Amino acid sequence: MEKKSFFSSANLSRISIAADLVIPFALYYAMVNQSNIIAWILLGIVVMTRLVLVITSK
Amino acid sequence: MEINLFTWLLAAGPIILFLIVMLGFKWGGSRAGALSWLVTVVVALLFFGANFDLVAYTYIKAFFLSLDVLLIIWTALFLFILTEQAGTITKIGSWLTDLTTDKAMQGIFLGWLFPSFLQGMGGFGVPVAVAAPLLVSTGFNPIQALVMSSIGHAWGVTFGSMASSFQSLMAVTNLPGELLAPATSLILGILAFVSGLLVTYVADGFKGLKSAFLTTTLISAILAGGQYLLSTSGLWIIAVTVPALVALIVTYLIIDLRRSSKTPSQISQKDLLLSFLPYVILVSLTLVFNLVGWFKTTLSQVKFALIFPEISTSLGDVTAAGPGRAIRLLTHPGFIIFLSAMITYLVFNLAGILKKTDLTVIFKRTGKSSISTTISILTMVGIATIMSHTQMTEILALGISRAFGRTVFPLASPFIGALGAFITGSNSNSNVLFAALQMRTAELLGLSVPVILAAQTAGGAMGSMMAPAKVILGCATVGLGNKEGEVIGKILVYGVGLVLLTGILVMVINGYGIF
Repeated sequence: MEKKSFFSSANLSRISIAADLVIPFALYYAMVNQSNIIAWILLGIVVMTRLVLVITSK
Repeated sequence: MEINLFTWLLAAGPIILFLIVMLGFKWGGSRAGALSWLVTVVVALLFFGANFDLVAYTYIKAFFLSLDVLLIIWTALFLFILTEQAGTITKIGSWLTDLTTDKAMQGIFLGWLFPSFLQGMGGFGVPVAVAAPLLVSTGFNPIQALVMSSIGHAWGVTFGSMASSFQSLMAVTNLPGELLAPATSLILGILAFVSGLLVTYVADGFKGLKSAFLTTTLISAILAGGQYLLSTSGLWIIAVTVPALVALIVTYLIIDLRRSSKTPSQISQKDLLLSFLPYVILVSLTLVFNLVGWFKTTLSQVKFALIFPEISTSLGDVTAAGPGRAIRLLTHPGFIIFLSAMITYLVFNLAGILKKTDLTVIFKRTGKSSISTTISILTMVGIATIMSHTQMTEILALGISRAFGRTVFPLASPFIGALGAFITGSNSNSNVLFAALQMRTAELLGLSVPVILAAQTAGGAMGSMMAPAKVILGCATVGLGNKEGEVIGKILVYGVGLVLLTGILVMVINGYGIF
């Protein structure tokens, strides 16, 4: 039986949605509390997930 | 910032890119949206004075704007898949098929009203996918069936799918539904009448058009009048479902009166009642939540909104501090739809139609079906939010207003909406992409904002019927998997005509200063 890759298009879409559902809340609290490093990391994750989505989607 | 061709192209860049990758490279909405969002961020940072704070806060704002629309899309899809899993949609269709052999009346019933009713509840290409095979089973050829069901449901796209497209229009423009509903429902009401006439023409030529003219006029009055009354009363989530349901009942009575021999339907009365139950529950709950004072005042107090600080660019654009989009969880249409779906599930479970394990299947199918739409909406709202917080939307709108001018823009406006829907396959996405731009252009030209936004969403509704994504889905259901091009060609003739008619209506309404 062919094993499905974890990095399949469907899985990456799910990860992207999961990030988009959680990160806005965390990012908001990082921004209002001026936790700049955390905010940079969180927004970096968003950029990365979208970049991966562009590269790997069919 | 100075407005010239270079700055205009920079501002239009993300949208142009979105169009190129979707049309030219056949990318899906989620992939194209993700790339365009990344490009928007880069362009905003390099050329429009954006900074880290602006990108972060617009991302958060866009999430809450999207959530307002997504809650409806997710729950409407959940309810639709639940009824599909229960087999009630097929039962309604079979019952309708047994009624008459008159081609024009079959067209009205299965090609116009039934897909409109389905659009009111769900949309997402389902009205064509469900109605077209039923039309084929009654003797129409597959292309005829696809053309009829595509034209037939388009008028109901804006207030259909529990008004998710209308909700996105409100979310992006931040204007109240009460302001937008009158012009929108007037234009869509007229389009409903013309769509009905076109369906009878496709069904049975001029003979059908002539024989069913009075019925079409009567039904149009129910659809247009019902939609206008409900949407202007704040009940937009049922502004297509209820009129379409009433129209189906009235048409049934007309057919029943004309019938000489009455053969009983294969669907039992109990099955029929159970099939319509989800919609009865939804309509009842919507009325209770919107019209009973206690529900409205008490439950609407449960709300969620974030306060945002002032956001500015290095070019001097300032967005004032204030609350973001408030989500009233217990009176949100999404909550009402979900409640209706869960009550329906309990009844279906007690009646033995759905098993306990079906609920997991329905949740899984809903999750799977909504992935692409969710990413598309999130990224496109993100693009629109960044553009409106920098000068990008402003520059784009100024360029368009200079190019078209006050006289021609009302005619061009629905074509912009239609283009957005044609590419993305969705009226909601088109509104997210272009509504802010249309609003700003209308303001700059001194045109009525509600009328131009009505043109945007009505154009989007008409454009969505021509969208390749929807046509491909429809073709697959009637065995025309390799003839999408031919079908799109046929639908385009009617679709472009309807968008042009929308433009003419907008010019007339605007000329007379009705809204």
